[in-house]
Amino acid sequence: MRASKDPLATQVTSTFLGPRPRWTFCSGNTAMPPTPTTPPQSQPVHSDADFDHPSHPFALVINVPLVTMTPENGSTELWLGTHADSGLHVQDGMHGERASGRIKPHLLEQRRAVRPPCQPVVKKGSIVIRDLRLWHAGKGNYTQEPRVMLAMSEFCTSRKYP
Amino acid sequence: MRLEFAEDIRPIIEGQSELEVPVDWVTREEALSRYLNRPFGNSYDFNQTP
Repeated sequence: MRASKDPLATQVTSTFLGPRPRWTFCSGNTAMPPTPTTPPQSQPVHSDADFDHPSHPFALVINVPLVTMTPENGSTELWLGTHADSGLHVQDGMHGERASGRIKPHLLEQRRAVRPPCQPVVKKGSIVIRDLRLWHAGKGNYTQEPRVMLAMSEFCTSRKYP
Repeated sequence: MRLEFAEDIRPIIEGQSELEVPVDWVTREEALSRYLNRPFGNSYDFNQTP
């Protein structure tokens, strides 16, 4: 709850999306430690905007790690800048499928040559704000401790879309 | 899309005005009984209209 009311976070989101964004998604992502029968696994690189969406900014995801995130415990892989050319033309998989919004493999390789992805170290309690359209992937946890991250989404209310 | 929260945090949510927060309020017992039993992330429809 504190993160949802963080004044600095809201200043950023309301500046980006317009006044009084609508908060409609509150969840979490936990990368569990591996087991003998379940090795660490990665999500396919995908966009959460798996629908025909506008080309202007319209939604943000706010993540708060409850433990420090590292490449070892599954810090989310981010493809910076990819929100700028987002849409169904870069995706495979329909909304409603388990792995919807997958980025087409040849486009991943094109982008990798320009700016490869990163898995940042993010300290416990930090606030990460990203565009809903950004390409990203949950990564495997190679440690013995769960990697827990809160996820909240805010949407613009001042502009109609799509 | 709407959030589902327990009544015990209602004062916190309704004590702010910076965000629009559509909430279905439920009892703390209801929230605790089902908050982990949710669909996976991309099954939610983020193509919402204002």
